[in-house]
Amino acid sequence: MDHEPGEAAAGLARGIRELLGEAADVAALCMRCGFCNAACPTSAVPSAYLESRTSRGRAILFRGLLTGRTVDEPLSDEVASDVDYCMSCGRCMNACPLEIPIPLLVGAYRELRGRERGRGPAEAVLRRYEALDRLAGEVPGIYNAAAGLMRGAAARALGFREDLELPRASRRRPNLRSWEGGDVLLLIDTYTWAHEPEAPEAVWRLLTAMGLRPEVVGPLDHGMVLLDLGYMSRLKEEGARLVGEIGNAARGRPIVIVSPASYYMFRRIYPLLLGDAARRLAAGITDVYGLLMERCRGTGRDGGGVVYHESCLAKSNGQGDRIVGALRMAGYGVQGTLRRCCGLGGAWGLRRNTAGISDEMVNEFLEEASGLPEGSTVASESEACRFQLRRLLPRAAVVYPAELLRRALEEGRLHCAHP
Amino acid sequence: MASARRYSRVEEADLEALRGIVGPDNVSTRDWELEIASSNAVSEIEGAAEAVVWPTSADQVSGILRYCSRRGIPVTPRGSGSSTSGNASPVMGGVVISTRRMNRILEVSREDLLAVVEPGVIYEDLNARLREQGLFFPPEPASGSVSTIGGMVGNNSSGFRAVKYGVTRDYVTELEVVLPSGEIVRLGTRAPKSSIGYDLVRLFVGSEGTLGFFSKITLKLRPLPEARRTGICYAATPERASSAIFEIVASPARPSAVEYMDSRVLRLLVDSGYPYRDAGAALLLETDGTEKAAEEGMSRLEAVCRSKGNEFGPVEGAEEEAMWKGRRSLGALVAKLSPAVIVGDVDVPVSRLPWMVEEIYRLGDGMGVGLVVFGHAGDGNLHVNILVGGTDDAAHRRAMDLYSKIIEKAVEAGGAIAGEHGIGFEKRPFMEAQHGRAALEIMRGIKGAVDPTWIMNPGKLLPD
Repeated sequence: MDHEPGEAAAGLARGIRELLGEAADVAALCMRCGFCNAACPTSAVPSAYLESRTSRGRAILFRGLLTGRTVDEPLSDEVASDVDYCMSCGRCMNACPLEIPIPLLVGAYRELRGRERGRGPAEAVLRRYEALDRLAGEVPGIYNAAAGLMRGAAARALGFREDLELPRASRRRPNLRSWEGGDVLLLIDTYTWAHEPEAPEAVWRLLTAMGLRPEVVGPLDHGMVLLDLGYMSRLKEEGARLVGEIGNAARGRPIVIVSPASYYMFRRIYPLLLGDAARRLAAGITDVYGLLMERCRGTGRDGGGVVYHESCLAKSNGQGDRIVGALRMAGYGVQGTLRRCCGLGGAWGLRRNTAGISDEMVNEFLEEASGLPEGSTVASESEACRFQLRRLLPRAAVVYPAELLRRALEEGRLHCAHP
Repeated sequence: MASARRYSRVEEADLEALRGIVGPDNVSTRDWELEIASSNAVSEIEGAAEAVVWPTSADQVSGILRYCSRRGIPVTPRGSGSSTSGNASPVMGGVVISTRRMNRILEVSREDLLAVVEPGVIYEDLNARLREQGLFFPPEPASGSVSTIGGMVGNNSSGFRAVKYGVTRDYVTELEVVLPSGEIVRLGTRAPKSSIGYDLVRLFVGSEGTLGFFSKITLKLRPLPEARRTGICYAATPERASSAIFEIVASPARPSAVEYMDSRVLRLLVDSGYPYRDAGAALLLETDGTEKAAEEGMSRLEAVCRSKGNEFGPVEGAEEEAMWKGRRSLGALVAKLSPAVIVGDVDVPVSRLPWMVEEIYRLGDGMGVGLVVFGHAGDGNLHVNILVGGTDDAAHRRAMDLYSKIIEKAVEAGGAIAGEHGIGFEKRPFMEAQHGRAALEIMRGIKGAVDPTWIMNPGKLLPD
């Protein structure tokens, strides 16, 4: 690009404002306290000793762009590869006193850079992940065969890590009764629908045990991968459609999600991007753990030990305490928490450009998990984490927390009152 | 930035020499990296870094300092850059030495109650490690999730728990320092006490990077309290809150935190979603110790609070966590009130607190400049955040004028112009009022003896 110094930065700032509106303006207030670094899962990996690779570094970049300071080549490969340390999990927003939406800024940056410099094949493939998940659900055999071929040279050619492994599709779909006009909406995301039907089934079972009649909605996409890849224009369109549809369906009823990514997108990201309608919808978004803590009680019977892996999104959403609380109530001895990020970050860690960072995180995670006894049960509510943990901890039983709670219900360790 | 001294600019040959010392990947001159290395938290003071280097050992730091001394290139040590006084901003340009790759916890001794760390270790990371052994390093700055131990030692930082446990200086027992000449010296001992001549450790602690680079730090530790209790004392007026502080501090309960927040701060916290409520002022209180001591201590503080006509409420669980998070966030939350803020940090004898608080509001009202006040009132420390209210020079001048008057009042009260944020760049003009000319000359003499070419963090601490 033959920009004059400053021209590219000014254009980028304009583009970010156009894409994000007032959500961008708060970045100009950044006090550079660095609290975001303490929360960011990638800012402490060894290669992030360069501060441009940290959350605070990104905040300073965007603050500079939006307040007229220039970075000569903001769209260069070097800057982009440092920005790629962001996996869009939003933990920085929790830690930031001003709640600066760094993932949105990064998403806007990635979109604008993509327009100027083009996109890699991995991004083009992942952009259609919802269609891929639907394919996985509808023709699992074909999907699994194709996924099995996506390794080595084929993966590399498409911009994925060479040792790529993709989650296998389940051969069955969730089989759930839906009550039209029921007490709550149960949102099923495309991933669990296609790959882990037992996850929405466990949530459904818990809801019905509480005497609630869920109206099942889905499979639908939450848009997390679009945010991570930085397809912000499409995310806004898709998000507006989803918010409208779900808002109409919910009609004020609570909306129970299965994936923490759905919680994150509907409760935190869309309100920032889409305004009032999304904010109204966000107020109704909840998870099964909070409802369970309100409506059920433990019977005091021991359910054995569990290790909890708090995913980045659960931290970001503030779900961790509820999940641990619910597990304890159901008689599980939560023996410890694996706090380190597993390194996958949804689809972030699958790409070749982020593989090295992901591997650094995996090393730190494995060090933390090194004392885990063989045969341990590890609970994590994030589907990407479960996929990664099954690879990294082959001797552990990795489960969705609601699945453990469903077992507790069936084994008489939980008693839920009908309203 | 004006200075009588002349320094060399960083040339390509200098970069080559630095690459030879730390490796080619550990020197950067990228504009983005330089902007980051030039920044502080909150302070509008911007530096002008010409290069950033990331050494991994004292030997590498020694090579950098020896080279820069010879060339007359300024050197600024930098941890996380969370200073609010411009301490880590290279205002005279030159080389920034980041401690991000010197971040190992080298030793934790339960027997000796000591930890040995490199300067880039983050305060909370150290305490997470110490907690496993039932120990802690108490000063607890609000920015503890990002503050490095090197930065804390350089700044003599403290925070919530200074009222009971003291400040960083009280905990540094031994230092390995790379002097500007490149010589590596060891100061102090690991002994619990010593009587061995001039206390150079206490001299270097709080020197803000102007005397040398701390490459290894030995800290005293404390046993972790078994329990903590939090309570909030809401007062109808600032006077009612501040008048309760003496008795709270003097109480046998020995509070581990006494945090003052004024009405505007409380409103800001409420608006930001934290579980406070409106009042004339509030004191956030903490006790610690055994379960019984913490519980009984808080009961005593409750009695003191109520005896002054204030309202008291115990706080626990998620609410307690949220209240402390809100308090920790205040330094940055103030940005919501004004695009530019001058962060004051005066510290006065506790007996003068009510007078000081009253004077601060009187001065602010009289000059028509907005401000908010919060701080570690138990040790006399008030963070007076002056809301500049605009980006024009006139607004800034008015705010600085108010700042000067507040500082004069603090000195008049027998206090300090900085309780824990250091002098940095902004407070240098007030150093003579604080110390007097003769004491400043002694300081200049020390600086000249240790750093004859004045390359270490020039433009900080001492006035030109």
